[in-house]
Amino acid sequence: MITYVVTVFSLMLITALLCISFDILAGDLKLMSLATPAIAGVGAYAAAISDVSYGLPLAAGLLAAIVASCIIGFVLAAISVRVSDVYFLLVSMAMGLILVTIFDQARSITNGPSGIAGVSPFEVFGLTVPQSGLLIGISLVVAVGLLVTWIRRSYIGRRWRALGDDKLAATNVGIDPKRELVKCVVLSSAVAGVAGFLHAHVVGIVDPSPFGLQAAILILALAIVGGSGRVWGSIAGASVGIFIPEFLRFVPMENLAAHQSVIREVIFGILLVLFLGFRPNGLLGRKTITQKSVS
Amino acid sequence: MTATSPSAAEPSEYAELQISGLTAGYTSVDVLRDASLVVGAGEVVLLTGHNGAGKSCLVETVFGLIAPSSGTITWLGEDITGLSPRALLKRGIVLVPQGGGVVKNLTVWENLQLIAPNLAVDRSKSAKSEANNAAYAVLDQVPFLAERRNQIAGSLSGGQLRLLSIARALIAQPKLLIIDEPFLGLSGTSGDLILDLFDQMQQLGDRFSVIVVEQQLFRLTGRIDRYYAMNQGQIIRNGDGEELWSLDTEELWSLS
Amino acid sequence: MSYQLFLQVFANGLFTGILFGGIAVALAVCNLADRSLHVAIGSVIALVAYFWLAIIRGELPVVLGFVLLVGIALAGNLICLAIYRWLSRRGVNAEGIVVASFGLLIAGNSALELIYGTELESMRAPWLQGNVKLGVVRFYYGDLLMSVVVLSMMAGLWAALRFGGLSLQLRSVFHDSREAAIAGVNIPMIQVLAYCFSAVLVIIIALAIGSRSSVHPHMGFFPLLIGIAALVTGGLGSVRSAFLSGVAMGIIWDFVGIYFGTVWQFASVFGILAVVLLTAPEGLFSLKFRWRRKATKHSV
Repeated sequence: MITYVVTVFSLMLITALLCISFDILAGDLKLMSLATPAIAGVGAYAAAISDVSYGLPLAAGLLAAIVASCIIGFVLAAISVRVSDVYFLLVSMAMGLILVTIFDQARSITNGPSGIAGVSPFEVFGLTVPQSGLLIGISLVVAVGLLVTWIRRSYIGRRWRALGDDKLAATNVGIDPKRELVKCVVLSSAVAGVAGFLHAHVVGIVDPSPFGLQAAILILALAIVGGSGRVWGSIAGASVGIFIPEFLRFVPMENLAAHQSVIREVIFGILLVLFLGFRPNGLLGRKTITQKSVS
Repeated sequence: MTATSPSAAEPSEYAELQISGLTAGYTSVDVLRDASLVVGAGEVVLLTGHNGAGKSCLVETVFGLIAPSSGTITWLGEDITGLSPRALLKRGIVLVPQGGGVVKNLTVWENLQLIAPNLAVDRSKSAKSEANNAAYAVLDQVPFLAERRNQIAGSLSGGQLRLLSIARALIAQPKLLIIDEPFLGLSGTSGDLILDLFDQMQQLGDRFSVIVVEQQLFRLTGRIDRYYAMNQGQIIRNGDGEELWSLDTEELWSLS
Repeated sequence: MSYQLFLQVFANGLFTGILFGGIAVALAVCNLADRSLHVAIGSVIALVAYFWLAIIRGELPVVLGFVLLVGIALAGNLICLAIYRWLSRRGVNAEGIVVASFGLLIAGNSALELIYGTELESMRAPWLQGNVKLGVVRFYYGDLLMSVVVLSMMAGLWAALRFGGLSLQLRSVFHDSREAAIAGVNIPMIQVLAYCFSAVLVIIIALAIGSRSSVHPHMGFFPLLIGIAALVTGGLGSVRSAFLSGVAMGIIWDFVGIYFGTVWQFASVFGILAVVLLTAPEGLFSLKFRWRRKATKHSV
């Protein structure tokens, strides 16, 4: 039972990192990316290869994951910079699909659809495997959360919010939209890489299936429902997204228990629409200035 | 100079349009507060005031672009509060919005066809209808419309755009024409063209009523029957057209 | 490559292109009417395909089944339209509505997965699979049927728009919906008509895709991606350019499939999209692009 709870919690942490990664672009610059899981996948493969093929220590795997994701992120940024913002969603979607196709086809590196198995689980400080995973997961989320919050509060974050609010006005006061876009995309990719690293070691096997378009839309839904603009919002979205469907396991109806991941998508697809209409700031998102506050 | 209370305005003839207690805004903040005015048949009524006084908000609310939070609008005895622009066009009320009235990515001719769908360049071929007759009358007055009919509207000059938007409104055979700042950004000669067009169209059919929102009062010398002045969303004074010309504009627009 | 093979591949490509063009047009009319990207059409396509399956397998009587089919397609699209309009009234901007459409897409696909499971169902029927050989080229009945329907719909659309003034109204709504409203265009009616037209296209698209590959809850993803690629490549704002770029992509699709293998087909479509986005983002045949060259009249 403990193992089960801890594992679910670890999955939540991975999802939280993905939501944070998505929200780095969506919360301030107001750019929605559908490439987040795919970029995380790049990091996951990097971590898996570093561990399985080369036997490198965990820290090296984490570094490899972050670097690999950042490189892909940089490519995405380079393309996006040249098209207008409205196409960012499509460009990121295309990039995600291309990456997943590469995961599937580049068998020499990624082992194709079967994936890379045997990624060693976390074992630190003499704790059991699931508990180590939880500890490392929490540390990573805390570290990333603090970093992202700090950046958001700094002048960089203000620049991003200015660009997201009114790109023309921000450009006219000297904020370079291209540079900020690149910085933001690379940071988002780095966080996605961390998520990938965690995924590789917690799940133990890296295959292309969890990094596709469906996962991307789900992350988008969780991030927005949880709340855009704040780390706690992303964590809230991930928690609600992972924990609530888990309760279905304990419901006596057999069908529900078996299909909880599918049910999650139905619920969150609908919740996304409802939240956009009724509560666009999500559960714990940053409050934007609404018209009512102008008196 | 007589400063009368906002709701005591009396038209010289039977009132076609009656607005009373209109309150509206662009978001949840009210821009227009408890405004009332009347327009009689065939009258030219001026609505003037500072920037941000609520003039555009008032005309947009009349035309159904903004939903009022309170108040009523009556046209020829019928309550038209909150009706859509389409419904109002059917009743003969036409709006030329500030700086607009044209779809810039369509051609000149296509813009006219939005109002008169059967408009054909070759008059002998087009169906005989009142709409088309009105359209040809306007086209006679504004020749460049036919000459440049395949030009994308957005590439016209400011004066030509304005003429196009007014021409289009006139083709709709208005009984009440509402124009928001027709002379905004135009030189003297372009402004004169607009006035000429007006005069011609007024003579051609039944004299239609006009609400003109304008800040450049000198352009409309001698043409105003009555006026209303607005400030901070309220109508602060009104009176006959002749009084206008003896007033200082700043005095006219200010609260005291 | 032999002459016969070339002709056969070209013919196949033409049919594939008409299918792609049809998908692009289904998305394009919705986009013209309310500036949305009706991504959720993928779910409607899959749902309709399952109904086709039921009819072909004899689980539903033909007439009743067909009526239900049309009803489902119309209902699916119009419900999505209602949701988009509701969100717009709540102040959600265009990008937010696309996001909502994605939400509807996964909700719809996953709901289908709950109902029907994830098995791939094949849609086989003699009147689809049969073929006839004209000269050196073999034509399949299914392809011919689809092409007839799509092309006649395109022709019907052209006629209706041209002679009903609807083309102008639709384009005015696309370019400036506020000005269109001021000019008295009945915007809700235009939007409902556009989405209904799109729904009818969905009916034939679902049949064509289902019979070409297989029927499963996520089958809508593939036509959706192709449709978006064709739409963006051709340029937003024109039904004709969406259709033409879909046809071009279809021909390229089949040739790439023969020369390089099926794996590269998707990549080629997205490669073209990437090149177009980087060099001429307004699209190859778009209105804005043409305006820059000469300020003259264009049509839908």
